[in-house]
Amino acid sequence: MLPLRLSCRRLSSASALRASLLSSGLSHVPSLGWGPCSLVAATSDLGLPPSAHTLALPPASLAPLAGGGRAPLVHHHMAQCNTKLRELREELLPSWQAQALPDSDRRAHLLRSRLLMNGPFVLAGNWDEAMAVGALPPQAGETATHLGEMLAVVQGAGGALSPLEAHAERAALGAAYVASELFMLSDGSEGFEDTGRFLDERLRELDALAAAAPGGGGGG
Amino acid sequence: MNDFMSAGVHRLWKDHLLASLSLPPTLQALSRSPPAGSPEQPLYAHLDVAGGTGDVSFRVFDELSDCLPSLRLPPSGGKAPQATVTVCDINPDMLRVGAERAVALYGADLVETLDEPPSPAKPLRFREGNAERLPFDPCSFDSYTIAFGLRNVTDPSRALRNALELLKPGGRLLVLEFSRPPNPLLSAAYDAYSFNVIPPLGAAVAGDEASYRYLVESIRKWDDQAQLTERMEDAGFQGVAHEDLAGGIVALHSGWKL
Repeated sequence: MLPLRLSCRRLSSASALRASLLSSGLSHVPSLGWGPCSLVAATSDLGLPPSAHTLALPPASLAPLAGGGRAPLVHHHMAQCNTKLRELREELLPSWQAQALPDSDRRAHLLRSRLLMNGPFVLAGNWDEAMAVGALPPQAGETATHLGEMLAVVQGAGGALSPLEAHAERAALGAAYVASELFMLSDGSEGFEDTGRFLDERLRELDALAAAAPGGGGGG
Repeated sequence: MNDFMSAGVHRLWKDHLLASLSLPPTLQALSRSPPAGSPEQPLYAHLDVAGGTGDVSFRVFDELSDCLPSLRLPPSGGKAPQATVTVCDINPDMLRVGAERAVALYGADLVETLDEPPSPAKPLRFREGNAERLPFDPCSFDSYTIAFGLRNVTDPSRALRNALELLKPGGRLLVLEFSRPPNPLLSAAYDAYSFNVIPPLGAAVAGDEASYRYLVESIRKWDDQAQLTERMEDAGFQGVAHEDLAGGIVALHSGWKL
């Protein structure tokens, strides 16, 4: 709790504070949802007055058609997951290269790991809300950017492809990921194992299609 | 006249200003865990400057009282209200108009008018003051709004520095003001409308073409979006951002005291 009349102490810069609010806010999303209430809870974690939650809440995001103030946390989650996924890839690449693990297995592992990052929100029952917010027209562009970055991280675990092949593969991986994300919403299995199997099945289908295409030899 | 000039859209801009304050989750949190401090202090204190007739402040008061229904009850036992809205203007006549409207809407029990002594128990207060040096203690307010008033202040930078002083740490300033449409086509159409339609409209509706011509010219001389952002940053606000409304004819700037 804060005293009402504070001395004017210096706090960290706005961008750093915004990032801290969003990161801390994510920890409250399972219980408080994707809206401003999680950001308000984050102000308490950071020793700020509740009104400071607006620092992480652009006015344009507050309109109902823009997500009612839920988009900042959704997109922050996506950005954080991309960072973690990139770090995971860098950590695993040396051992994968040593084992000569096929590209398809590497991609499957990364996509599965990425799906599990949504796990806490699926269990809390509000991941569908995040997906809906991300699909709103004012948010779709940023959502597509985060998805594109995620797929670039996944593709970066494999060998080089021609631009056309890379583009086609990215679209295919994106489709498999989104389908698995939807499947996960109703997956009650331990550790989302059924989603992992669903994803593997989709990726096998894509590899089979690629192998059957004229001049196709699969992605490894 | 505001309704004629903006085809009533100024109401939407002010609604957007209110929504940007994001009051409901703040008040929910404050009601659950009130800040430590004297029980005479309200949970939330808002200041609206240059808003004599009450357009913005009534919106804020309505939102606060939706979240804190006790705000609408007549004060009892001299107890401090859970939230306050203070309306400040340099023009006492505008304040009297606003106070009359407030009394008609909410009742005299809830409104401290200009001509009565300060009444700490009343949540809606009308006070005369110059935005460059407002008569309040430092770190008194959680939010500060000024709608279509900053460009009329003699020294806007000084007013912004004063705003920073009056806000509590973590507090937010919102400035709703005319700006410059970045799109050249819209800018040309806006200029044509401003110089050829508004002054004659002022003559026809308010009987005062000269004042409305001055209004249009003052808007053209005022800061654009980037200039106001720089002015707010120079005053000490952080995280300054703006949002264009109506294609940039109006902009909503916000900054925080960190």
